[in-house]
Amino acid sequence: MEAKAIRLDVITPVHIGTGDFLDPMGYLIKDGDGGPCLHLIDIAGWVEDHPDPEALADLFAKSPLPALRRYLYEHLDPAVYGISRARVLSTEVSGEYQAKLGDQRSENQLQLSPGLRSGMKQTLVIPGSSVKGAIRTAVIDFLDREFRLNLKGAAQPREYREKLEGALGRIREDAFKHLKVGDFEAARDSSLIVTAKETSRKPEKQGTPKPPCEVVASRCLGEADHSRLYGRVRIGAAVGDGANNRLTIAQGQIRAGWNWDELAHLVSNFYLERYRRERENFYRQAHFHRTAEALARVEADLLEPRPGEMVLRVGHYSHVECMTVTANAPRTRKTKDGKIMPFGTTRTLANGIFPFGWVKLVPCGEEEFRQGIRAKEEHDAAAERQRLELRRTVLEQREAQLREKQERHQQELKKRESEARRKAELEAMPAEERQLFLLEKGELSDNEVFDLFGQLDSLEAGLKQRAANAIKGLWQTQGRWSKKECSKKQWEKVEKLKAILGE
Amino acid sequence: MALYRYHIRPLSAFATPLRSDTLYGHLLCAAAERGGSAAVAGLIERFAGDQPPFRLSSAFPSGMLPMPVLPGIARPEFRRQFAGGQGGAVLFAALEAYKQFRKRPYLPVRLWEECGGRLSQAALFGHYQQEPAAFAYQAGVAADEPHNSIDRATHSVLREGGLYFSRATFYGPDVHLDLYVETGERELFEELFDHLGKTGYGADRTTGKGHFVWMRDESFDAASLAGSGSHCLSLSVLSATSLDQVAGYYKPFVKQGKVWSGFGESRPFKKPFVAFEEGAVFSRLPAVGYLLRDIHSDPAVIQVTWPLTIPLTLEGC
Repeated sequence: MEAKAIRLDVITPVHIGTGDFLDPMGYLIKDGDGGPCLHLIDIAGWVEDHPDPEALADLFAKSPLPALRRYLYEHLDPAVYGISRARVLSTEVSGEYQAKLGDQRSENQLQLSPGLRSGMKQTLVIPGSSVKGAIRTAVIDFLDREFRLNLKGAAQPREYREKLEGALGRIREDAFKHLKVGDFEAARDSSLIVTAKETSRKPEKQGTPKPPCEVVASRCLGEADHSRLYGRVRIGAAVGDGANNRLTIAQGQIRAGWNWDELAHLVSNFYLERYRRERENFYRQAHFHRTAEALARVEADLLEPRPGEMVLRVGHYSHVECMTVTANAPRTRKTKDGKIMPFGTTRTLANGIFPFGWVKLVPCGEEEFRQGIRAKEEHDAAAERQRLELRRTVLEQREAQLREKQERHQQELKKRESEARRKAELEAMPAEERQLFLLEKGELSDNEVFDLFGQLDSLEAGLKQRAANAIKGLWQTQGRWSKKECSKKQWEKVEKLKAILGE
Repeated sequence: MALYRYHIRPLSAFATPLRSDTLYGHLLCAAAERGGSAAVAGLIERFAGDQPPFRLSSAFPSGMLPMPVLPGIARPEFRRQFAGGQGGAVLFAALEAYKQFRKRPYLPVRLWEECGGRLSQAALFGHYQQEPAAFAYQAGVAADEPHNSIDRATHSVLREGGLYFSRATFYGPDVHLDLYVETGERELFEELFDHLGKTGYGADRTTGKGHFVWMRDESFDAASLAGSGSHCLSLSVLSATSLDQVAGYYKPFVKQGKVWSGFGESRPFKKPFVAFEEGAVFSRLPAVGYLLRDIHSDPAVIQVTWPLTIPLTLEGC
């Protein structure tokens, strides 16, 4: 058995779906550094932390879905409750999201197709089963042509399956058990959101609408750093008499076997033939010119693989030709007038430009493999640290704001209590004493001071002294006490106060 | 026989848990792949005797052992020791904490060593209350992976039954597992174990599951788990041809094993049998009988359930 370290170059966007859809109760799109970003959100965590669960429950019970989506957008902070994020490369996706999020009339569910994530839920993955399935298709095609399996002649699915088992073996002894392909994991937060536009060979024909999807970063979309994924492949039987480094088929009359280089050559031929045909049938046409231009930038990599490099197509929107053996057209349903439905008349393109699914498996040395894995792990760890740091900062700010708000509230309460107490105290005082109290606090206006001066003679002795002292203090600060500062009338008043005070 | 500890670092997700009896089966298959049927027949006969070539534990999170199945704390004792003799809210809080403790699947090796293998449920709970973080561990995350089947007739996704899910445990880059092995033939075990790491362990190996690297823990002091005791703690899945002599505290379960198809066996299911989970504490065990026969229509198919045990004394510490 030969174990190979493999670098998987993602040349065009790859979308491996989950069979499920995301809706805006599961994600937010917000502007960030580098443009709009889609955040997968932990809505359960946000609900749990909500400061007013009753109000939230009421909102959820009574509000229509668009209103809930708008509420989430405005109140859920992805820095705290985001699980992972993806850059939104299509302005159409972000624009439609903003336009229709809270639209009460909108029937648009704003669904999109998420990419397959690893079990740790944070990174996209191209599973080994997808790569292996793509290799298997090419091998089946070879066997059908070389050994005349006559798959075309199989009228029933059971017959088809039996022919394949006749070539590759039953499931428990399948020849492909000697090809082990591991998963290829992308870097964290490196995925992208693109539209999936179906375009017909006939430019006037409208394509079937398809939801936007999450794709692995690729060379075509300028994400060179994150378009290299690393994994392992093992080929051949392990030990014993059958030990070898070949994928061997030995069923009935069929004898075939390939080492990795030979298998890469076979598989690349299968897919490149389809690439060229697709290019001829579609991308030479005027309305596909942007696709032709985009592919021209990466075609050298695709069309000229070196020995041992394997070109293949994986994932959703790989199109039927890449899953079809040469001698057998796919079975389609019949139209209303009894004709066989045509196939392969449209292409679904990422952002209306880039074909989905083209990758290349490149054997690399152990050193590059280790460096690649280490770089990814460091990137993921840094992304996680950044996310936690941002979360911590946001939570601290939030707590600080909450504390500040609580302090202000407490101060407000204290102030009100203090004012209420003072009001009660004042109301409990006799009127003259109240006036005197306010004068001593400096809270009487000049007119009120003048009125109190006028009442001095009616006050009892103690209060009279207090009032005279307080008025003296006020007039001293106002510069209305010394003779040279006063008018004649003011001086008369001062003399009266001095007489009361015995000065 | 000497006791060794190995560190396992998963390189991919695992579709099959690393349990001792499944490991035995994999190593025997590895022996058959490497040496043919004669080689594996000889090994099987040794497992049938009283001197197996090696005894394996199941794999545990690094630094952990399975939580021993111990007799519960008597109610008056619980109230006295953990609720200060009180009832009401105090007792309720203590019982809540005890309930959380009983869900802990693993015990730190450090604690075992500190206690010298002398344990009681009350003592362990006391340790948990003082230092709950010590019982935390890094584990894998179990998740379901969706898959599509391609209908090769229509060359598109199979309409009915095409979407299916497979469960696997995914590990982060820093997660390691510990495996204990008792053997007098370390080279034999390591040769087979190495083969396993390269070819893969468990289901879905051909799509990358079950690959790992391993290293022997040179810092491991076997004496820390040795000694004598009134009981023994099983680190393995245990069953025997006769369970009459088994006495102790254990969690039984029904094991439904499978046969690998690699040697042409087309009927994968073994007959179910009763087994005891890791963490069982025994005062008495049979000396032999840990190779189960007659568990499949093919008489050559067997199941090895040799336990790796470490001595334990039931008391406080």
